[in-house]
Amino acid sequence: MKALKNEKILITGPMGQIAFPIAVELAKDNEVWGIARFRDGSKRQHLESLGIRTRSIDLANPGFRDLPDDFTYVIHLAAFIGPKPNFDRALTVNAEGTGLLMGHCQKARAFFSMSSCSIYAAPQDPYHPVKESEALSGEALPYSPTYIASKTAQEAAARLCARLFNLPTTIARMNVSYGPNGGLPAYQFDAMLAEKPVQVLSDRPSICSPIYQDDIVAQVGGLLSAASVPAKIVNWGGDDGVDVETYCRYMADIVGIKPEFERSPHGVKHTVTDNSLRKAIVGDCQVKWQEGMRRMIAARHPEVKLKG
Amino acid sequence: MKNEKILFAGLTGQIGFPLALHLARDNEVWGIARFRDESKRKQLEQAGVTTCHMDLGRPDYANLPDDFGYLIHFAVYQEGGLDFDEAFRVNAEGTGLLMAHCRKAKAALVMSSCAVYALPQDPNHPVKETDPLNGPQSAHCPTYAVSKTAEEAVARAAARQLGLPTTIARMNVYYGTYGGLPPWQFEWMLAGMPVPVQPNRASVCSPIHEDDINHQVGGLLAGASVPATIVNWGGDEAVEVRTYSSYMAEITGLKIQFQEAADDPLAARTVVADNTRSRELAGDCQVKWREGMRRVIAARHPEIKLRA
Repeated sequence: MKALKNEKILITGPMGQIAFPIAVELAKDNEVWGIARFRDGSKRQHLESLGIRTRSIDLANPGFRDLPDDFTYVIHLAAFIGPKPNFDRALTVNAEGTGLLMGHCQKARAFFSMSSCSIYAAPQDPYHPVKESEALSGEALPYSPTYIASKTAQEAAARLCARLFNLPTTIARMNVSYGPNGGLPAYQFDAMLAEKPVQVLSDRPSICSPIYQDDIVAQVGGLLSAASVPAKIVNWGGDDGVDVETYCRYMADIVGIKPEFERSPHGVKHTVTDNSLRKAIVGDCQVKWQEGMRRMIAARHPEVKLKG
Repeated sequence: MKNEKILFAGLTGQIGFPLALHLARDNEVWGIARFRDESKRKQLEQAGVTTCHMDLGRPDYANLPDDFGYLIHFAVYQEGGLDFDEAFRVNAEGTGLLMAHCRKAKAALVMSSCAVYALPQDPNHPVKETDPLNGPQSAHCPTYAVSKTAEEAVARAAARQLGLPTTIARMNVYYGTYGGLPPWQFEWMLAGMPVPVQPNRASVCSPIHEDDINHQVGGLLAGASVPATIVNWGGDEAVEVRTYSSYMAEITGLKIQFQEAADDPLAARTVVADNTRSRELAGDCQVKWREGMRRVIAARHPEIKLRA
C-alpha cells in the first residue's frame, strides 16, 4: 500500500473525528497543513504542537491569500453538518466551498473528497451490499436535514472540478467509521456505559460496514493514488457487514454491561457497502470489527476492564 | 432581450423550443443539443438559429465560439432507468463545463426544478427558495430530483469559481404549445383515458404559460449574481390538478375521470411556488391559468371548438 512521504499535504477540518488521526500520522513524514475555522484556539495550538501548520479559513467564504497553492495532495474532510434546516449554508460550504478549494489547489497531483454512504437510497433489502453505481436519493437524516442533499451536492462539485481543472480526484463514500477518536460505535458504547438505550430502527435491521481508524489511516494514501479524471468514486467501509445490535451486544458483553435498545421507525437507515472497488485499490482491511471495538474501548475507557 | 449573442443549450425541449424561436427574432441565437429530432433542428435553423450538435456529458467546444453575451441552459438528462452516473455526468458536470466555456458571458440562466424541494406536509404551502431540499425520487425518472440538486450545486460552485453571474430558476409546472403537464393531461382526456392523481395529497401547483416564460427570461437574467441567484419560476396562481383538468374538460365538452394511484409515475407530486423573488426580478405573470389553458388547447387542437 502506498505510504505518503515527503509530500506537501493540505487537510481540511483536521480536528474532525476521522481527520485528526490521519493528520497526526501524515505529519510524521510529510509537511502537513490544516485549515478550519478554528473557533477553538486551543485545538489549533494542539495541531501546531504536533507539527501541523494551520490557517483559519471558512470554506463558505474562503480567503486563500495566506495559504500556499503548491500542495501535492489535498485531503478534504471538512463538512458542514448541523441540526438546522439551513440548506443555503450547507450548499455554500459543502458544494461551493469544495469547488473553490479545488480551484485553489488545482496544481495538486490528487484531491481526496470525503463523501458519505448516506447519500444512497436505502435498498429494500438491508443486507444488499450497495455498489457505487446504485441509486442515490438518501432520505434526510433526522439529526441533520441538510446533510444528504449537501453531500450529494459536494460530490457533484468535486466531479465537475476534477474535469474542469484536470485534477485527479477520489470521492470516497464513508460507511461507519470508528476508533479511539470516536465514531458511531464509540458514541453508542458511551451511551450504554451511561445506562442509556441505543437507538435502532424498529422495522429494519441496521446493518452497516464499520471501518476502524487504523484501516482508514492506512488506506487514505492508496485511495489518493487511485485518483482520476473523471473522478473515481469509491465506497469506504469495513470488510464485514454487521448489525448495530450485534456489535453493541458484543461491546456490552466484553465489559459486562447490559445493553438496552430503543426501537423507533425514525432513525438512520444504514447500508452495507460493496467493497470490491476499494479492495482492488488498497486491499483488505486489517482490523476485524470485534478486535477494533475492543481496541476502541480500551483506548477510550482505560478504566473499564475487558473480558477475554 | 435584443441584439445579444445567446448560447441556448437544450432548445429542442418543450420549454426551450418556443423560447429559442422567440429569442431568435431579435438576437443572434446559437443552439446546442443532441438534435435527435431533425425536423426541430430544421425549424430552428429556419428561424435563424445556428445549431451545433453537442453531448453535454462529453462536450467538445473546440468549434463553438466563446464570446456569448448570455447562456441559457435548459438541457437535461431525464431518462427513465437508474443510470445515476450518467445523470450526474450530464446534469452536473455538463452544466459546469458549459458555464466554464461561457465564462465571459454577462450572465447565465440555469434551469432547475421545484422537484428539488422536499414535499411540504401542507400541499398548499408556497415553498420559498430557502425551504428544505431532498426532493423524493420520482417514479418516471428516479435520477431526476437528485441530479437536478447536483446541477444546482455545480452551477453555484461554477458561478463563484468563474465569477459568472448566474440565475438558477426552479421551474414549477410549465405548459405551452409544445407540451407540459396540463397539455399532456388534456391529451389523455382526449384519448378517453383517466388523469392519474395522487390519492392522499392535493396536487396543487403553480402552472406558468409559455408567454410568461418568454417575457420573464430577460428579468431573470438581469437578476443573475455571484453567488448565484436562486429563484422559483412558476405561475402566480396556485391551482389543483383536478381543478384545471376539469376546466379543460368543461370548455371542450369532454368527460373527465381521475384515477387515484400513488405509484403511477404520471400522478404528479407537485408544490406551490412562493413567487415573491421572481416577481421582484421579472414582474407578475400576464397569463391567468384559465386563459392560458384555453390558448394552449386552441394552439394544439385548432379542430376543437372551445366553449365560452
